[in-house]
Amino acid sequence: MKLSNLIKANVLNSILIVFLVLIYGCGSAFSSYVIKFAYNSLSKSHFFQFLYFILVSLITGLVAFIINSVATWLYSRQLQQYIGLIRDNLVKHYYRSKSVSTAAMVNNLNNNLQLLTDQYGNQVLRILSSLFVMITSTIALVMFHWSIAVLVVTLVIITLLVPKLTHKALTKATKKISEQNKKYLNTIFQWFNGLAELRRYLAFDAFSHYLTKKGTDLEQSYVDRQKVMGLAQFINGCANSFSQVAVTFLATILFFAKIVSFGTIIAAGTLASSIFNSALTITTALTRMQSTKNINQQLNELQREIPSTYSNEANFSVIKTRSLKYKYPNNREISYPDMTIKKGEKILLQGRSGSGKSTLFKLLLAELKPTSGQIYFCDKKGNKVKVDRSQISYLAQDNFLFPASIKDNITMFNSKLDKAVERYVKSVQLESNLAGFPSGLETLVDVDKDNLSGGQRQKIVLARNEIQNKPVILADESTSAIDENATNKIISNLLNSGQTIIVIAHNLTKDTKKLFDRVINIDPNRGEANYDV
Amino acid sequence: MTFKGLYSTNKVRMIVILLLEFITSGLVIGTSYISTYIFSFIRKRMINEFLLFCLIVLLLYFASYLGMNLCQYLIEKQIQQYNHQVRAEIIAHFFNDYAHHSPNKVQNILTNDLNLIKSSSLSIYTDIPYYAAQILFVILALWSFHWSLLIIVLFLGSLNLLLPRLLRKPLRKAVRNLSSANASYLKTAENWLDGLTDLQNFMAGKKLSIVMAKASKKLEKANINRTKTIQFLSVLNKASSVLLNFFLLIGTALLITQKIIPFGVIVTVENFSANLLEALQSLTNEVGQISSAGQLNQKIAKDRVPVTDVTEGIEPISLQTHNLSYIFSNGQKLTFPDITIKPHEKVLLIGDSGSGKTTLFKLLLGELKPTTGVVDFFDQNKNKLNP
Repeated sequence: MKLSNLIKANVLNSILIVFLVLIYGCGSAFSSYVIKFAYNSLSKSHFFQFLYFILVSLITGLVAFIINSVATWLYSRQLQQYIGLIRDNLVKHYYRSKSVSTAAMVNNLNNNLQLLTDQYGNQVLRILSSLFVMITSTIALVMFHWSIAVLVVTLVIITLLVPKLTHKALTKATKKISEQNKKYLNTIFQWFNGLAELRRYLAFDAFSHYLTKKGTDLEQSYVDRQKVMGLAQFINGCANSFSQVAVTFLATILFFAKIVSFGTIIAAGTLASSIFNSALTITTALTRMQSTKNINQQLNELQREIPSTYSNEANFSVIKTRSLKYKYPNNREISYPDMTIKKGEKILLQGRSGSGKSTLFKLLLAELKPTSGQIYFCDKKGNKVKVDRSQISYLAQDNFLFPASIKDNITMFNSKLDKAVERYVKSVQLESNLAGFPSGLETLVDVDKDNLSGGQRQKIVLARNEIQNKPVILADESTSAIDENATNKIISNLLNSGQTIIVIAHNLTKDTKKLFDRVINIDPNRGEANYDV
Repeated sequence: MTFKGLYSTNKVRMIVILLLEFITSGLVIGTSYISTYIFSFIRKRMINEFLLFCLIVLLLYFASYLGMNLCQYLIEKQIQQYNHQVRAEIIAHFFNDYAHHSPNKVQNILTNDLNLIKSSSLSIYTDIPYYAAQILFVILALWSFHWSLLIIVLFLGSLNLLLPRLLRKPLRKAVRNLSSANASYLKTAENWLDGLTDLQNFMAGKKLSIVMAKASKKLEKANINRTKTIQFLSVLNKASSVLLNFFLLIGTALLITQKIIPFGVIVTVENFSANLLEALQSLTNEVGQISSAGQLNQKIAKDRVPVTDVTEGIEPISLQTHNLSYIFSNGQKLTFPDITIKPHEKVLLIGDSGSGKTTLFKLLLGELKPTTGVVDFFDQNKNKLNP
């Protein structure tokens, strides 16, 4: 969140707000100045003159307040508009960069922005209105006597320097809250995602233990910050009150020396009060803003433009793996047999559970780096080419559907693909299922209530990938929840194309297996690299 | 979440907080009281007395700031301890009620909603005793000057209390909208960002931006609405306090010109009235804000109720279904044949995709309620059980 960008969000509105706040400042100072005449009248027992001046003072004060409220409302509109812009930038950034956990993204989009709204955005306006009050009131003081103004200005400068003593500690404490909040959100997400499972195993104690522990950490971070804030505000408050007493003292001395009238003592006190209160407001606001420095920097970094990567379609004619090995974090190592896959081949990848089939896919996608060995994509002449992730369709074991229509989940919101949807719905055997839905393709996927069966979800994901017609398809257990008959038809449709396709599946019928060009078995116990069906 | 609950979290600390607030409040008012005599000394040109009383006032100021910030710290401790308890109760309730709870909804309740209640009502519950004590001390001070002053102040003050009642409804609506806007934003964010990898691979960035922008707009609007309502409320409060101040000064000036009270009162009566108005305004604003968070409070209160019918029962040994069917929210209907499972039977369930195998399990587990029909469980003696 940057002040310059906040202003740029609506320059005209910004100018209007500044203007309104300026009027507020003038009205406030005038209201205090006029008091001098009121008290002079009263000390001479002129009651009606007193009445008149008091009336003037109070009415200007009220009008100024109303104008300030209007400015506050206008400001909140602009601030929210700016926040919308920041959210948009964050979303674009996350879209263009490598995946971060959803909890981290949401923490920035919601919690951290909320923090910045309260502790940064809202403070800016308070600083502005307080600053104007300070300036107009100081001018009024000069009109009484220059020494009072000098004293007040000096005391204000001292009061402004005092918060520096505690600002570092405050920044740290605020950042801690944000970190703990993120951890807490993450913990809630993880444990509540598996709520159904936990209930079946009556695992309440573990569930409760982890959640309350993270909750405690969060609660403690709030208390710790309050400790630092309390100390800072005590120091600020003491400096402020010392200053107020000093001003009355000076004005009284001037009165004793017959330089100013009696009413000046009181009016000067009121003006000095406004100035010190404004200074206190400004220092508190600045302290709050400073405490968000780290988070603000973090968020500003995230809004930097990332250039979109341009991928070029390279033509490959063979995929080779040589001496490929991968070591897991738990030190288990997998050695893959050397493989050569020609363009357009249809391969069935088999192996026991845990033999590294899914990992092989991730290595092919360059999502994981091999511990040793290489994967090459070569063209006809044998030169290495780079094949981009965007040219490979990867059907992972878990699939994700969006809260949109089935059709949109297939086209992934690309309207150019709308016409092709029917064809692929047939190809993945989804037609018969759709007949049972009253709204058919337009049926909305309900993320909460799971209105689709596991098999239906897999079919939609299959259609989503097939409609893209990418040169390479890697399918990992994509038909595990679909019945035999339909699986056979889906796979035969899938293999009936020019794409290079590798499928992991372990309960295919003999007939279905025959549809593949060959089977690669990466089971370490079998010495053979591959064999024909 | 109630004051009673906050209090019982740690009764000793709460009493210390209340005592400290009472004392601090007295110190603040004492400052104004001493100041009245300072102005009398100035007028009579009694320099030594003037100097002494200046020093006393300074010390009173320091002590009051110490008291205030110590209070804030203890209050935060108390609130966080209370939050801890509330979170534990909500978690237990959500676990034992066997209903579906999406993680983002829970996240919103356990963080955003609790923070909203903290700023809307809990912090305010602890401010209220401070302001109440302030009102008490001001009344005593005013009474000591003259009873007519006190009557004017009380009369106009009670007008100031009636206003929030008129404004409670729109403020409540704005807070409620903000909470649900927060929840709905969190939900949308998670529903789409969880699938970010897919969106990236299928280049659906434009759609993501559109969806997130729409959700953000709703949240922005709710925030603005809340600000607007709060500003409007404080303008009305300010207007009434200005009126009070005017009549107060007139009354005091009259009494001074009649020589019934010392001159110095004209200066400090404004301090007293400012303190009283601040206390009344804060009380009226805050009571208004408490009731505006009232609905949110009620919702959370429901979520805290311990679920009592967690059954530890006899194990079922056989089951039977009659006339079972389930209709999804999108209109799709599934009907099941009547099934009888005898004791110790091992059964394989097959069917096409979407025929309802998983749904049947959910109906048997009680995770879904059937649209028609029943599932009966039996024990060894063929008695029906509540599963």
